[in-house]
Amino acid sequence: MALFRKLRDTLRPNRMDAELDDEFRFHLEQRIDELVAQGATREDARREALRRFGNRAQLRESTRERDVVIGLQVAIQDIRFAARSMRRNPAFAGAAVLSLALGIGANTALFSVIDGLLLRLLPVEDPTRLVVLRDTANDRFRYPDFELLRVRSRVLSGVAGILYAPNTLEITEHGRSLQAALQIVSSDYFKMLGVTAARGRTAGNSGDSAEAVISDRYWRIHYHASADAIGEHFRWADWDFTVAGIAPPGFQGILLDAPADIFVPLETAIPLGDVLRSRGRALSLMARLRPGVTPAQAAAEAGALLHRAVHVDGGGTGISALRARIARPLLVVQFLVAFVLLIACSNLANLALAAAAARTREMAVRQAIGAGRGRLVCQLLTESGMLALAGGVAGVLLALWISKALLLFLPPNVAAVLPNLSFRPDTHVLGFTAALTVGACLLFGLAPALRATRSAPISGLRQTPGAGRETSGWLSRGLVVCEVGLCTAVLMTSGLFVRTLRNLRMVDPALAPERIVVANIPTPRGHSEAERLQAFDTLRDRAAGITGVRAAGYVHVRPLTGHGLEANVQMEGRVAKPNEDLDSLTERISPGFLAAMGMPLVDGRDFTDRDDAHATPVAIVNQRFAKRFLPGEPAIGRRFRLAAGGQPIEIVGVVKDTRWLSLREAPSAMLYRPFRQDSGSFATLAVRTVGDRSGVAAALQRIARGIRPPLAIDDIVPFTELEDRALFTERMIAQVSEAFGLLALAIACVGLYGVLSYGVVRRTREIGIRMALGASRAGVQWLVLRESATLLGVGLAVGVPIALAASRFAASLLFGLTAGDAGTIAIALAVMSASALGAACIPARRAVRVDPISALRQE
Amino acid sequence: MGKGKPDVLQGTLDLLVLKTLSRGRQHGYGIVVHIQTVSHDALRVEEGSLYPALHRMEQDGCIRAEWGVSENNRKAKFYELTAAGRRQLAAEEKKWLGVTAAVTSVLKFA
Repeated sequence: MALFRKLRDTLRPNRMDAELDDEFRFHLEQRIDELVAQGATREDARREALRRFGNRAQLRESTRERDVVIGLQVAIQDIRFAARSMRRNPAFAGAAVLSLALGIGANTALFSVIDGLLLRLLPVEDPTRLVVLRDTANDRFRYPDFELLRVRSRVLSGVAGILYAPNTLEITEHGRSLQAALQIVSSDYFKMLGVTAARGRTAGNSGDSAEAVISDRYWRIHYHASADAIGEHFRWADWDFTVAGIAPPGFQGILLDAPADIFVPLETAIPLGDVLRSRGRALSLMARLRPGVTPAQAAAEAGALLHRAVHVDGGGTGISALRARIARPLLVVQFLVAFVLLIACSNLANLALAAAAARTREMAVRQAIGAGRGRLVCQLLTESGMLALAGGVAGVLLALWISKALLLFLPPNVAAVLPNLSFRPDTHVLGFTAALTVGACLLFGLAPALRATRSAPISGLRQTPGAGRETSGWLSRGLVVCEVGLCTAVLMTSGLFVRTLRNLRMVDPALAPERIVVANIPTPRGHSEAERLQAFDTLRDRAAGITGVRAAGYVHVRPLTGHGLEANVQMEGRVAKPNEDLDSLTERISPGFLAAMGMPLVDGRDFTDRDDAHATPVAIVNQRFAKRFLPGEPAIGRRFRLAAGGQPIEIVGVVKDTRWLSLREAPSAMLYRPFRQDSGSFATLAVRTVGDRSGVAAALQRIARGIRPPLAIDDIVPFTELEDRALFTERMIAQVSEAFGLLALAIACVGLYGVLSYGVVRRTREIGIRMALGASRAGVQWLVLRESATLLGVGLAVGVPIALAASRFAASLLFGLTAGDAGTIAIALAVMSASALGAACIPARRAVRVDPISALRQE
Repeated sequence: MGKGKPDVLQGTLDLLVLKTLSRGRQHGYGIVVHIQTVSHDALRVEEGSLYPALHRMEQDGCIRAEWGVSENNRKAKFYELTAAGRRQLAAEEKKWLGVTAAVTSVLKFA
């Protein structure tokens, strides 16, 4: 094999040389024999043969130069050379690899998440032709809307509806009940997506079949990949479903936030006459455009058919509410880490420039004896390439860890269901990393390599160490300015996010939230409403009796979930203005809940156990409710109705405003109803503790298990944990940007320090002369500090506009301050300046210590 | 370059080597001797040109090399034509004849 031989030759250059020598030796011996045969003495013959042959070493070189293999060999030589020079300077190599690994790792981890959430196409047929339909008022549609579009549309080749439902539903299998990720989809769902079953068939070309399709994942986990899975039965909502097919691996539906394991046809599962088949707005719609149709045309047609505006957007990447929420934060963080990588690269470029300057003589000598410039540039780039490669490989490993850390910010229920977000080193992601690595290598390697080989050999040879000003100064100074500028931008942006988080933390919806312990109370199965209420109240009463617990109560939907019910308030004796917004948030609470949360009543009373179904309907409202519906009037004793014809409800208390749905939204009008008058099937318990609360969780568990019916309470956490979950994007951005801000600062300071120290070394002679001529120590120190102050000043001037542009993109994520917040800018500038000047002090002090005599003798 | 004796014309070395090898496999020294003998000492191939050319042609795939034993029992590297080399030879030969014919007609005309 010729290729094999080439490779072998490359890896064993000595052996190749030996072969050439053998070949030449044969030639010489033949010639000598011939000459001897013609009558020459052996000695003369040998001399003549060698003369004809010429310089054998040179011939060997020129023979091998023609070799295409030589390229590979040169590369190996370069790599060996680079390894040697790295061993000479392990600190530089270590710092380079570490900073590159952090930069590349962070960028890779972010990209992996962004790819999974924003870019990855669904594993269906031609996903680019899929579109998502959204109503302007509400993202979801009514079933008749779906039917109309499906039957009448001429630009859509198919429409599929997915019914909104909880992520998991309870199904019954062989008499046992279990939770499954069941999704209710219109019967032509699979046909529209172009997904064919890996086994069996995709259900539902006939409208009323009770056939289900399961995911490959579920088939492997639940049915242990058994072929008998097809034909299995399970029961859901009074229907017996038969497993008819298994979806291809990787397909778990088109809702990214809710990967599905079981698909059942909507037309079977939801009978005609159900509200979900008529008025309920519960369908997410995905459709496929006919060839040549644009989303705008589809939007126009759907709008005409439904007589209202419909948005049509590309749907190839699936439907995700989480995407809408964290896409921008992720992009912002991606920007920041990209800046950090740029800073790391300019820093390395700078260090490499200094190293190249030190090798000017070496390069000049090598050029003088005939090395081509291209060859030298290649060699220097090999060094950068090896650093970048090491950084890239370490970066991928770091990315694994960084992406795990990133996912820790997601609330556990979100992170668990999102397989898309875990780090997947697929071709996309690794391609991105490779591109980053090559880009980084060129970015920090090319300029120094060109610079090092630029000088004419003669001037390089003449140059003596320490003489004259360096011509490459502007480049390295420019790089420092870049670093300072980018670093300022990163610091400012991260400052905005850190302060946003702090501002949000200050708007606690509860008093001393760290003292509140909450627990989830799931619905106890198989019990009447009365039994359930009794159990909830017993739990509350016994929880209040735990030592260290001051108050206990429960609420139907806990605060900060983003979910709430609104109701239309019709106040007695008040005439509503036309088109007035009469909605108020409503929530159901037990007596004691307000005390447990630390929400003070400003008027009236809390609920009691006597406020039950037999008593007068009552409500507690917040201050904003009172101000909106009863401005300037006492609220206590006033009555209102929720919806026309409802019972009159009497206001018995007014409570202070608190943020309820989220920490960002200002408190809105809100009314609370007693749980006993308007009950729910599940709840969240809240207890306020004093003193040691370490035993509270265990005590709650014990109590919950001991009552009739037993309550399987779970997720017992301090209220601050709920705040953390609600703030997960803010915490992620703030902490990641803070960490990378500090990293950027450290790198930029090292860069500044390096350039200044190198400057001091270069100017040792100049400084010596100045001191010999009577310059003061302060004067010399100022010489160095002035340079750093100039670099810093220019850097700050460059950085602030970058930061302003970046933070304007992030403006919607800020809270309690604006993108151009003066305080944050001031802090960022102060931190940057103090760190930079701190870094400059070391070389400045070194300059003062220069001994004039030895400096002048240095040559 | 040896004085007095004309060196092989630049660019014709490949042709000469290919032609020589078309008679069968041969080692470097044999190629030199063959060209010198057949041209009645008129053409002399320099070792300094021959070996780089041989290696280049080997890399190009026109010839392939193999270690063997010479007539006098020495270890030698033998070269032989490949199929690609044969095609190359035909093309080079045609080109050479074309050029010489052209040059000859110019000379005759003058």
